[in-house]
Amino acid sequence: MAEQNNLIEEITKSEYKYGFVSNIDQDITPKGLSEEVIHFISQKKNEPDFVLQFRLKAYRAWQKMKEPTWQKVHFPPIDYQDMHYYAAPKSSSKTKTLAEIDPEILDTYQKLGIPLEEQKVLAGVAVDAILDSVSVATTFKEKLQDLGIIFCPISEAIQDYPELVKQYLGSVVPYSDNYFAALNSAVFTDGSFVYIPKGVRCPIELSTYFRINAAQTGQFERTLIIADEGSYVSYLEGCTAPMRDENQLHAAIVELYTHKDAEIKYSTVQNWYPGDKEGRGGIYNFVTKRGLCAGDNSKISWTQVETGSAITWKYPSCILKGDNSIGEFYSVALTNNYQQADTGTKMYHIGKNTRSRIVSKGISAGKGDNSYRGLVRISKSAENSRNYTQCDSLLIGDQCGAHTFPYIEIENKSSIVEHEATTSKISDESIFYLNQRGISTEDAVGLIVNGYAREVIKQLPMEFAVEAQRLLSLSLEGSVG
Amino acid sequence: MKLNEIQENLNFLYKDGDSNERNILESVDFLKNNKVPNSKIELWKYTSLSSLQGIDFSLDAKEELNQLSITKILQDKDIPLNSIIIPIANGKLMNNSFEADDRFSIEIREIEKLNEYAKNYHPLQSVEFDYFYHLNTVLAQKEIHLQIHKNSDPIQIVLLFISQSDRNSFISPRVRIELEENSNAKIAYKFINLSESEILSNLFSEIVLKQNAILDFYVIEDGLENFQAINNINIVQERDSKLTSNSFTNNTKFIRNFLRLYFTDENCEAILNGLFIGNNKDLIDNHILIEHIKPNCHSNQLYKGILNDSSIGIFNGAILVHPNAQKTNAFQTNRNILTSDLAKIYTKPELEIYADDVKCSHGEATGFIDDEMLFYLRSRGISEENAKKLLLQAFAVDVLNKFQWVEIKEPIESHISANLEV
Repeated sequence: MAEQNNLIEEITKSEYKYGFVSNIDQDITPKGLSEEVIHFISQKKNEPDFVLQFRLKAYRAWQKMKEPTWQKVHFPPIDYQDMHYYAAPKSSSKTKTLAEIDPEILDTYQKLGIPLEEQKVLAGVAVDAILDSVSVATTFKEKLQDLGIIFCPISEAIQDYPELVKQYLGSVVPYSDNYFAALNSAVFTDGSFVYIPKGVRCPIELSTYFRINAAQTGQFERTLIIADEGSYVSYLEGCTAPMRDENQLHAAIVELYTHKDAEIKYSTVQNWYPGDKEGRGGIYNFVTKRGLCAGDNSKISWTQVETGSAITWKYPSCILKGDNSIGEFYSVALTNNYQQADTGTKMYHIGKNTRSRIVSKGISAGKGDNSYRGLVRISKSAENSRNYTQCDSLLIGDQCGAHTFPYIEIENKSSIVEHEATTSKISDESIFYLNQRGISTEDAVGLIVNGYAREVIKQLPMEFAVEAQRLLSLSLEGSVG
Repeated sequence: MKLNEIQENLNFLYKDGDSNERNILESVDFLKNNKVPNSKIELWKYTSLSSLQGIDFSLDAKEELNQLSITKILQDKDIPLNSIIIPIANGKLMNNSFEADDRFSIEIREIEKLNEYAKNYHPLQSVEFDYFYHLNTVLAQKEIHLQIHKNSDPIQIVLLFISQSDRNSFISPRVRIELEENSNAKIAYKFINLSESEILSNLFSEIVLKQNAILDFYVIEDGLENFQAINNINIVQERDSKLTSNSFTNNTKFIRNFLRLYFTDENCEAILNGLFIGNNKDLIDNHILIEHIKPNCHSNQLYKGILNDSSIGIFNGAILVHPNAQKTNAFQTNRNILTSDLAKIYTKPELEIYADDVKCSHGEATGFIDDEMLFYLRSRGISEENAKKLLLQAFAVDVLNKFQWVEIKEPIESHISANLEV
């Protein structure tokens, strides 16, 4: 036991690797939120009127809403008037090539292990890097343009493709959806926009890195991905943030829209600053992610590996509206120290013969609290639907918590729904077996956890799978004796 | 009086100074500050009380039962006659209708304070925040206290909850059972409704199993027309005690069972079996909360539901393992069959775990009759209708086979085979 505690202490003492602050000149609004701030943001971004009206409607709806209280995570009340709602690196407004980018920003990414230029060549990944609120670099854009694929910051899309944005913005997550979605809709500053035209299979994996850099700014990005008939895209999102003492709010929205026969695969590796070992600081990750399988035979797949953030609170969901559409959700959520996670998914079966599969793996260590909360709803029209849910929890140490709250609502007789959940700790036998073969306890735990999460990690694209595996062992190193 | 009018009439129902009982006053306070639960409250999310809210209930149902009618009930209904039968008419104990025995004693008492374990632990699901618990406390005022004596021989008791009234009535039975050390009892709660008018029965019952006590417990609600029931049952288990709880619900308009179980010391065991069958527009709600407070306790739940016509089934089983409750084993299985496109099932199996050396699992499955099983039977020359009936029966019998009290089990089995229709 004493040994175990020592080991837990050891790991909790390891400092956050990505904690540094870039000194870049920033363009910041005064603290607080009001209609003026929204007008300011909209003006600054030179937005058409429909976007401004969308923001104002959302802001008015937000004012009438109350912050939800049902979640199983706890945090001190957030003062929404004590935050900057717009922060942009000053020098980045008109960059077109990599050479024009502030060298310090490039350096930031280097420290994060995302060498833009190298990655471009080696991995074949187009990176739309977002630093705070404004996109600073977009690569591979032209190659994608040849195929008719639009991959750009959403602010650019608003300028260049207003009719597309107007059609789809808020079509999956309406501005009045929930408290944080309304807040985001009012003040969103940037994010990615992807449009895959009919019948096009996106040849490379699209990727974005989000960074929260300026102190006391909320990050409100908004991602909109549209896959037109018969198209396919795989999108990767990776997140890290520098070390800060104050909690920072991250309330993003991700909307996915698939037409007939289209498929979107959305992967996230989230490694934001989780707070220090006393539970101070860290990111509040309150994100609304939702995909709409609007057309028949369409498919949306969410994969997430959540190791960071002080609080993770999100439910990537699928609305399976088209007949024969498929929704998938694969998740690994790890909480250590005082981290809290309340995450899961919602699957709304509306079309006939719709299928969904949920695999959720929770790992709690230290004083972490990890909850799976999910909804599977089979409505009356969803004949012959099928759902399979598996949610497992792994407990490491006797001070953490693991919880599951699945909601299952079935309203027709031809559908089959199965749900299974288990909770256990790493068995002494498994550790002993590995010890016997000369593997240290620490490595054994790493091995077992990676094996445990394998089902989810194998869903990730190659580059991410490696990073995710590394993150898992790193975050857990030595937490079991 | 309608349900939502109770709040306004509290002063009329209960005058300050009537009694110094603190917990009644607390309950009055609670009712003053809280409204009848609606779907916005998590624990009532799927259980709509709207069908009850329209009914104008009278709060003083007359006891029109005499010994004669009880004898008649005993002949009519499937009641194990070799046991001690304690009739409770409209919530009031009928004193002279059973033989006294040195194995137990029964009396009317002031309402006892809630067991401390039942309070505070689970903030949301605790009975302390249950509107109907407080309503029962205010309206019942006294409780029926049944004590099974220490080291006594095994005993079988049937509590007959009889409702009889010529107008819509709201009744509040309140029963407390204490099984002393080393006692062994089979106790059944059987509900019988003789009334043609609507009855809303709001039962609260606390059962305490002292060290080494064994209880085989049954709640039977079968074929109750015009009957809606809210049953809050709290069971507190002490060291080495063993509980088997069996519930059967069939053909009843509105049922809300909330069973809360507390393991307050080591080495307790509980097996919970439940079978519910919904017909017509029935609503059957089974809520279960099991709190593993101390190490080395085991719980195992098996609940099955068959939902016909446009009935609604709700199953919410929560398992809470406290920080020190190491070596806990807690399992839960819920299976449901919907036989109609209008039937609905809402299930929410919850696990909340704060200890690491535990084995916990829950499984939920809902579907229709398995095609392959059906094909197997059809290929052996059994008509589709009969094959379906057989499969449904097999599905139900799986739970019934766990009922150990044969005199209770057999009539249920025959009802089921008579009633199952596809």
